[in-house]
Amino acid sequence: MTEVAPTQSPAPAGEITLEAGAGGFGNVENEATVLGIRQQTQFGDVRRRFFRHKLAVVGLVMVGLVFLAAIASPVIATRPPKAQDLTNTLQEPSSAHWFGTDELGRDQFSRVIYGSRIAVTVGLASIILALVIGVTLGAVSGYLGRGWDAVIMRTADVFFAFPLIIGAIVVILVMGRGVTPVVISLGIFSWATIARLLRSSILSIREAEYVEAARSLGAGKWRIVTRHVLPNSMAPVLVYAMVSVATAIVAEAALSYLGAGVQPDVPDWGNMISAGQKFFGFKDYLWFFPSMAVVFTVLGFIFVGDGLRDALDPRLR
Amino acid sequence: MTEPLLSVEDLRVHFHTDAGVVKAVDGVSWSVAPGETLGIVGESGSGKSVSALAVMGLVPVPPARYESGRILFKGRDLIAADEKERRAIRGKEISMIFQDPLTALNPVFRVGHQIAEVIQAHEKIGRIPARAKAVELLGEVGIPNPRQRAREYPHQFSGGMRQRAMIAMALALDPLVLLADEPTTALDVTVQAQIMDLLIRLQADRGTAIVLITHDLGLVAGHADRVLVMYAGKVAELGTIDDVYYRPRHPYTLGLLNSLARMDQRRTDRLRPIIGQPPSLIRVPPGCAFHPRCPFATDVCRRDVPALEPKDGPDHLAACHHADQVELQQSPAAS
Amino acid sequence: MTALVEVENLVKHYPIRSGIVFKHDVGAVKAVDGISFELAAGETFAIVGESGCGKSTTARCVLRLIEPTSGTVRFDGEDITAAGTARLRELRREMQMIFQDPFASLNPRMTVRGILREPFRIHGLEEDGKVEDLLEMVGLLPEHASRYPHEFSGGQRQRVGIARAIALNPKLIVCDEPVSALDVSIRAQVLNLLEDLQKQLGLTYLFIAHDLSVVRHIANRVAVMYLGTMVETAATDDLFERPSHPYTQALISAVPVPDPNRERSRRRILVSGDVPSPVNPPSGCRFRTRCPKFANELSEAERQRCVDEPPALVDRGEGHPTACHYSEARTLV
Ligand SMILES: Nc1ncnc2c1ncn2[C@@H]1O[C@H](COP(=O)(O)OP(=O)(O)OP(=O)(O)O)[C@@H](O)[C@H]1O
Ligand SMILES: Nc1ncnc2c1ncn2[C@@H]1O[C@H](COP(=O)(O)OP(=O)(O)OP(=O)(O)O)[C@@H](O)[C@H]1O
Ligand code: SF4
Ligand code: SF4
Ligand SMILES: [Mg+2]
Ligand SMILES: [Mg+2]
Repeated sequence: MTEVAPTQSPAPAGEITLEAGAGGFGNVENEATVLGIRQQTQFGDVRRRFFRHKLAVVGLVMVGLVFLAAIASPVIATRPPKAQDLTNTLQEPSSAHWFGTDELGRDQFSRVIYGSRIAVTVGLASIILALVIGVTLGAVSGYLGRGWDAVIMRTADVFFAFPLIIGAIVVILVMGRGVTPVVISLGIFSWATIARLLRSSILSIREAEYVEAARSLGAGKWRIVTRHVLPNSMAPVLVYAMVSVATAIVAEAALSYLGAGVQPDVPDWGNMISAGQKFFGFKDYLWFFPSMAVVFTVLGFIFVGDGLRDALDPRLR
Repeated sequence: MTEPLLSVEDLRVHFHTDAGVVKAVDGVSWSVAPGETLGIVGESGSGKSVSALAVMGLVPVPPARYESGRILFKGRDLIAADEKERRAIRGKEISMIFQDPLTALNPVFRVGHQIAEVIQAHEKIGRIPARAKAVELLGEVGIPNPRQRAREYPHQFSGGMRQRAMIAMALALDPLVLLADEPTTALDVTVQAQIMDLLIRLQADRGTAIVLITHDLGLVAGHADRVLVMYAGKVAELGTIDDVYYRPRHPYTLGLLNSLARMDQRRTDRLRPIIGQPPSLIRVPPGCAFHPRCPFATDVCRRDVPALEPKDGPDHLAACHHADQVELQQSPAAS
Repeated sequence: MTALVEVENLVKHYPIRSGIVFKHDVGAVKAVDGISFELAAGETFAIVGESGCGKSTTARCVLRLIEPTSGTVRFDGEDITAAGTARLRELRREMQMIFQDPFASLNPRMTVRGILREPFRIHGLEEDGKVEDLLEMVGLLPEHASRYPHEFSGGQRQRVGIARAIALNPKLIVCDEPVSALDVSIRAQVLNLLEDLQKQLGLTYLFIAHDLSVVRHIANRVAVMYLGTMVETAATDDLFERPSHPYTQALISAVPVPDPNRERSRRRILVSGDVPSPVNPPSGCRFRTRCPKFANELSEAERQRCVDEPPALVDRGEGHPTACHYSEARTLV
């Protein structure tokens, strides 16, 4: 609580009010009652709870740095990422080449910076795709139930049973390498969990007493879904999605590492690790820096997801 | 009164949490003699359970801390005693039953097996005689077909039967003291009557001392000899049930009695509730914790914590600066 | 007084479905099995009974929050079991509900203002200043409007639930155990509030409870339910002074009263065993498996009647209807 107003609640008037005892000393959970008046939107509350979470703020800074690198790659990078310099191959890290150079003399630092573009694009785009599919199907399944539910959930089971990477490789074998196929393949193999999460969360919230209260007031289906069911069931989904961005980034790097991701000449962390492993044991900086970039980004998203979970829980203040 | 069997002296159990120090039990003393039933009543969060759990050594430390006090069983202090001695007493000589039997019974073991295990943990007895004793106990607590029921799992029992099974388990070692924390709150009244009847009969047979924790003043009136009224982690009043119900000397007790709806008489008027709500135990009001809700409160109440002192006789204690004024008010129970 | 609500032969069976691919009914939970009652305008009619006897199911059928299996519910003379969606929406303004659990019945993501505005929004009504008025009526302060439910104590939350129920100025409020979750001192505050509002707004209450003390205090008439059926109904004092069904007698005698002397002198009628499953209720009289009269007082021939013939809910000379072949008034309190 930041806005502590030392006001005592005004003396209650009238008998009924007197019995309410709105003034005086509250319960543990009721501390705010004594502390004064709050005027905040729900978004404000979420933001306040998020920023109280130290790790979440660290995560946000990390993710922010990655985004900055992606947007401002041409400014930050010291050289064009594909520029070869055959006189300067396999240089150890130095003031000229912070992360060293590879066997074609390309500047590793610049490639790591440009690599963030692929990571961010693939991570976000694939999860947005998964969210669109998962939320739609999950909501239909959870709220309409019956036949829809059975069909959607059995389909989800099939997708769920497929290991992400294997599934993605199959799609890429069909569609060819490149950013779009990677996004699509990761998206269609990630929606199943989202749909399931949302469905089970809707199923329990649909039975909640406050939903029944809304029905008893005469609220229609649409109002119930948008005002009561979705706001209360989306939280776990959003948290999962945030953490899934991290998973998608790892998966993307893994696909590239396996030679099934973006084209090999594109500056991409997976590609760089894959290329660097040939020199494992003597030119370790080649795979070390891109790996660190993956770890850094992934941790950032996980921390943010963690903070988001707390922030979206109104019971934590 | 006979010599107390178990006594708690000036017990203070505080929880150190992020939000602050929760003074769950703050200077509580009580005792219970063989064959006696002590009722502990109070509103939710007043520290009833924590004081019983402290006796059993079941309060999680940390976050809890024993700030002061002694728990004397047959003259030995359980807080100071070593682990081995404590284990020998707790469970064997003092046992506890809870509101929710499902938390105390393990869902993956057969009921009979669980009772037999308790017996074996404390007594040198073979597996087969322990089983036989478990079946015998289940029969004693009124479970039909005990032999067959002993082979079932807790979820196959109804709420009342689970509570009976837990009582059987608690009684397996013939404890001298039984702490019953809301033993019937989760049950229907007709089943509550069965369970209370069972406890009373077992007590008569074995001379067990019972500490009956509840928020139901009716249950205490019907089944306890003495009653302790708790408010905000402290003792408000302690005395025989007749003293406390007919001659309450603490405004909180009087307020509780006044706010009860009565099933046994025609309605006369509106209820007379206590105003306000119980305090947070993190921010207990200074002086007498009850003062923001008390119709008798004066400046001294807002300043000084009232001591728990004998009022009409040595066995009737109340913690109130103005106990003599409370007497003037007629207790609704004295009709 | 005229009847505001008439319930006739209300039945609600929850089917038990089984099968993985082809779902089929394998039985039914007979939650409510043919009950009838009337509520006069302005009165408080209480339904008591033990857990699972069908009280909440009855309440929800009366409001048509669930569809009854059969039977009719008439509100102000209109058969609401036949009302279409649009008509039902209009009817919702007339009848409201207060829930047992003050924690579960308020949306945790809405402020009190949002919660109390909702009734007006749903029905497209003017809402200016209404939230503050409602808060005042239930004894809360205007500044409470911007808080979330978790920032209140149980009693205050229940007040918010009450404010929501009276928002649209309904005629009927169904209170499903409105004070069961509250502490003694807070319970009295809320009961008084309910009484004050009833007087002020001319409300009719259908009051569901398992606590007989609360019922004796607040109700004008009481019905006792057992395993989906109604076993006795009477004016409140009549029921407590002359209970005539063995179950009512057992229930009343089981409730402890906060009066040591009276407790010492009371006679307890203990019933044995647990409530049977509502899937396969006993034949004849549903209470016979636990009935102390059946077990101790009746002859073999008399018992046969309890086994064969379900007793009707009629007055057998006690001055009010009971569903027991051998009903007989007793004094217990
Ligand atoms: N593990 C814990 N950590 C922090 N606080 C605790 C813990 N256990 C109990 N408390 C606090 O101690 C206080 C007393 O709790 P206790 O369980 O003894 O209450 P009670 O009188 O038994 O209430 P009830 O009638 O609800 O069971 C409460 O305010 C509770 O929040
Ligand atoms: N949605 C449902 N599906 C299946 N059975 C149900 C459903 N709702 C209730 N029941 C069953 O119907 C019976 C009556 O339930 P109901 O909730 O009406 O009881 P109640 O009298 O309100 O009990 P309580 O005092 O516990 O609230 C119970 O056996 C219950 O298990
Ligand atoms: S000490 Fe004062 S405030 Fe406390 S109970 Fe007694 S009269 Fe009331
Ligand atoms: S009809 Fe028979 S079994 Fe039923 S309540 Fe009456 S005496 Fe008991
Ligand atoms: Mg407790
Ligand atoms: Mg119910």
